[in-house]
Amino acid sequence: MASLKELFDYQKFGHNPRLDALIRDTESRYSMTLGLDDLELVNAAGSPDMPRKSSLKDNSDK
Amino acid sequence: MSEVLTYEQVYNEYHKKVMGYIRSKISNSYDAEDLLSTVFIKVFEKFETFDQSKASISTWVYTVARNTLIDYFRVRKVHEEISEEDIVEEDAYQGILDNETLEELAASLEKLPERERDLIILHYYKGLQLKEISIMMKMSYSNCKIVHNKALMRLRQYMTFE
Repeated sequence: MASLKELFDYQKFGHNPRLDALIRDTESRYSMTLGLDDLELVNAAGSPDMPRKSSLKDNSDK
Repeated sequence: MSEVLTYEQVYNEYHKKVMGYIRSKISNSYDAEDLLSTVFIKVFEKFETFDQSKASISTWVYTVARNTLIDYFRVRKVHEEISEEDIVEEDAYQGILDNETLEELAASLEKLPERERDLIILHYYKGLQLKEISIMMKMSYSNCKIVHNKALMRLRQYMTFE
């Protein structure tokens, strides 16, 4: 039986329209690129308090 | 009984899909063209021995493309998007990877809460780490792992995964 990873990889070949729609929907909500501040958080270990940002697209300090 | 396709028909039907799949993995257009040719040379060489009545042409072509990409990354000794452990015998996916299964996955994902569905897609389709996803989704890393596990449990109720 195919794993989830295998199925999604196959989707990159098969392009099932229903799955494509779900993927596009997710992509519309999330920028695929992390800003510099967010990249630092990826490397931070055990940080329990995540800074709140009003918008993912707004990565500049005000 | 489904129609037996000729090699030309297979090429016409799948070359765009194969190219799309290759381009999802590598950005170099020249390498992509070379790999496309390599894939269909392999398909041509084995075409006469492939039993279309027993296995899916789509899954077979996909597997040839996938393994060709693995060879490409191995030769270039670059970070592999597909590990060598993922190399699959080209007839091993018979009846497992097909549009029907993708439809089942889509139906199952639609049943998930949006947050869980997003996490699954970001992790398994986009290849992002849970730590990156936790930042994008504005949750702690530990909570992200919990949400991930919940999503997998729900999907297992709708589908059967190894």
